[in-house]
Amino acid sequence: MKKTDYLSDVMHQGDLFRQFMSKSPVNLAMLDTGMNYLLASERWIQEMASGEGNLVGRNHYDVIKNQPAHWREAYERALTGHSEKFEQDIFIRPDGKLDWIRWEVSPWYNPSNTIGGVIIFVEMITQRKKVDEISNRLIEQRSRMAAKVETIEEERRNIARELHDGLGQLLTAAHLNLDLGEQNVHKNPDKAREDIRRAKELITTTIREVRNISQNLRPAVLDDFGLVPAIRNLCDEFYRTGTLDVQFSEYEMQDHYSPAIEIVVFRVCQEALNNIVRHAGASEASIDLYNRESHILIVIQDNGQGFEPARISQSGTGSGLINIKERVELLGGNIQIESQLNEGTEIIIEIPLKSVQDQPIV
Amino acid sequence: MSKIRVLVADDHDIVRFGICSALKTSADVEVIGEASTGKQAAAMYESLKPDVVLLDISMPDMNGIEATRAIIKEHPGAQILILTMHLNEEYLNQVINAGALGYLLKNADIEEMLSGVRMVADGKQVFSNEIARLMTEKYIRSAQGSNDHKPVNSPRLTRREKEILQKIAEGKTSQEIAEILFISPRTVDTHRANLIQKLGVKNSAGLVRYAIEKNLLSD
Repeated sequence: MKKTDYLSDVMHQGDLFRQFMSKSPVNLAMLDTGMNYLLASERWIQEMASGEGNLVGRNHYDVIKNQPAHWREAYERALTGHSEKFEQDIFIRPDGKLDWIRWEVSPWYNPSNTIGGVIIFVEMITQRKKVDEISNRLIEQRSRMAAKVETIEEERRNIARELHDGLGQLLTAAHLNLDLGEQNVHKNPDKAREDIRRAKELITTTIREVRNISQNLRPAVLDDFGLVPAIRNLCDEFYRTGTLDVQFSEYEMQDHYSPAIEIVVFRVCQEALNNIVRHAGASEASIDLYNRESHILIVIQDNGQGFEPARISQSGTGSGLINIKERVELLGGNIQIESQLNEGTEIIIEIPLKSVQDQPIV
Repeated sequence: MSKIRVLVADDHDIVRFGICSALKTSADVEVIGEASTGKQAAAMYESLKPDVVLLDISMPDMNGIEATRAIIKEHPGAQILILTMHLNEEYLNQVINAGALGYLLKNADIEEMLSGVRMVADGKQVFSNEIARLMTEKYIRSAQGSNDHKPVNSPRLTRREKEILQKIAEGKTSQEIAEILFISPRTVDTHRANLIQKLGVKNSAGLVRYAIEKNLLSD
C-alpha cells in the first residue's frame, strides 16, 4: 500500500468515525483527560449544550455549568479505568428546566493502552418516566375501580338478600294467610278473620322493613327537606340508638344545594360517624357545617382514641376514610385529617360549590 | 248530621284508591276530591274548601309539607292530616312546624284512619302510636339531658376550638399554635375562620375580646 493511499484511508476512517459519532441519534461525547471535548454528537450539542455550536476543544465544566459533585467523582473514577452508570439522575438544563436522565461514563484508551479520556452517554428519560407514571396511575386506578365494582356487587348481593329473605318471606306468609282466609270465609268466618289479621300483621312488618331498607339506600329526608334536616336527622339517629352523642351545628347553610353536593356531604358525614362508632371508641362527636363564599366546610371531630394519619394511606385500615376522600375528591374538594393517639380525630373537608365540570382542568 | 268532606292527595294511584275506599266504608265521611301532587292539592283546597285534607309527604311538584304550609298560609284554620310511610323525628318536626294537626303512618288500619279524620275534623291533634312513642322518647331524652347540658346561650365550641381560641387570645400566631397543638397552620386558620363565623365576631380581635369576656384565658 502506498503512503498516500494509507493516509487517505486513515483520514477516511477518521471521517467515518466522526460522522458516526456526530450523527448518532443519542447524547454522546468524547473527552480527553482534561475533560475537553474531542467530539460530541449533534444530539448532545442540542440537548446538553443547548445548541452551542462546535464544542471541540472546550472544557466540559464550561459547557455544562454547576455540575453536581457525584458527576465529577464519576469522571474521575472513569479516568482511572472504571465505568460508572446512573439509572436515574436529574439534569438541569441551562434554561433551568429539569430532565430525568440515565447516563454512563467510561474510559477510552490510546493505542499505547493508556487512558485517553472518557466517553459519556446520556439518555433523556423524562418522557419515559412520565409515561411510566401515567401507566402506574392507570394501573392503580384500575385496581381501585375493580375494588369499587366489587363493593357495588357486594351491596347488590346484600340488597337482594334483604329483599328475598326478608320481604319475600314476609309477603309469601301474608299471601298464605290470605289464601287460608279466603278458603275459610264461608265455612269458618272466625278462623277467616284470624287469618286476615295475621296477614295484616305480616304486611305491617313488611312495611317497616321496606322503610328500613329504603332509608339505608337513600335518605328520604334529604329529598324531602334538604341537607341540613338530613344531617340533623342523621345525628339524632346516632344519638337515639345510643351509639354516639353527636352535636350538630350549621352556620348560614342554604336550604338546597345541587343533588351531587347534597349526597356527598350526607354520605361523608354518615361514613365519618360510622367510622367513629366502629373504630374511634369515642363517646362524643360533633359535626359543624359552614356555608362559605365558594365552598361548604365540614368539620367533624370526635374525642376517641385517634390514630396516626400516615397509617390510613397504607393497609386496609381506614377504608372508610378512603371512601370519604374519594367522594370528596370526585367533586374537586379536599380533605384534611388531624389526629394523634388518644387525642381524638378531626376531619376538615371543603366541597366547592361550583361543580368540578365548570372548572378548567389544570 | 253533615258528612266530613275530605280531600285526599297521594301521588300513587293505587294507594290513593286504597285510602279513598277505606274512607268510603264509613257513612260519616265523604271524599270530595283527589290530587296527585302537592300543588294540585293546594289548588283544590281553594276551590273545594274541604273539612279535612289527607296529605302524603313525598310527592312531586310540592311535597306534602310545602303544600301544608301553602294551605295554612292562606287558610290558617285548615285541618290537615299527614299520612305517610316515614317514621322519624325530622318528619315529625316538619309536620308540626308546618301546622298540620295530625301525623298518621300508612300502615294505620281503617279504624285508625277514620278516627284520625274525625278527630282532625273536630280540630283535635292526632298521632299514630309509633309517632306518639317517638315524641315521648324525645321528651324523655330532653328531660334527662337538661341535667347534664347547661343551657346553651353561647355557641358550643369543641375542645379543639376552645384550645385554639385560648391560644389566639394569648397572642399566639397560627404558626405557633400549629406547633403547640401538632396540627398544620392551615388547620389553625380554618378554625380561626370558623370561630369568627360561629361567635359572630368580625375578626381575630373580636375573638380575643370574646375570650376575655367569657373568661377563657385562665385555664
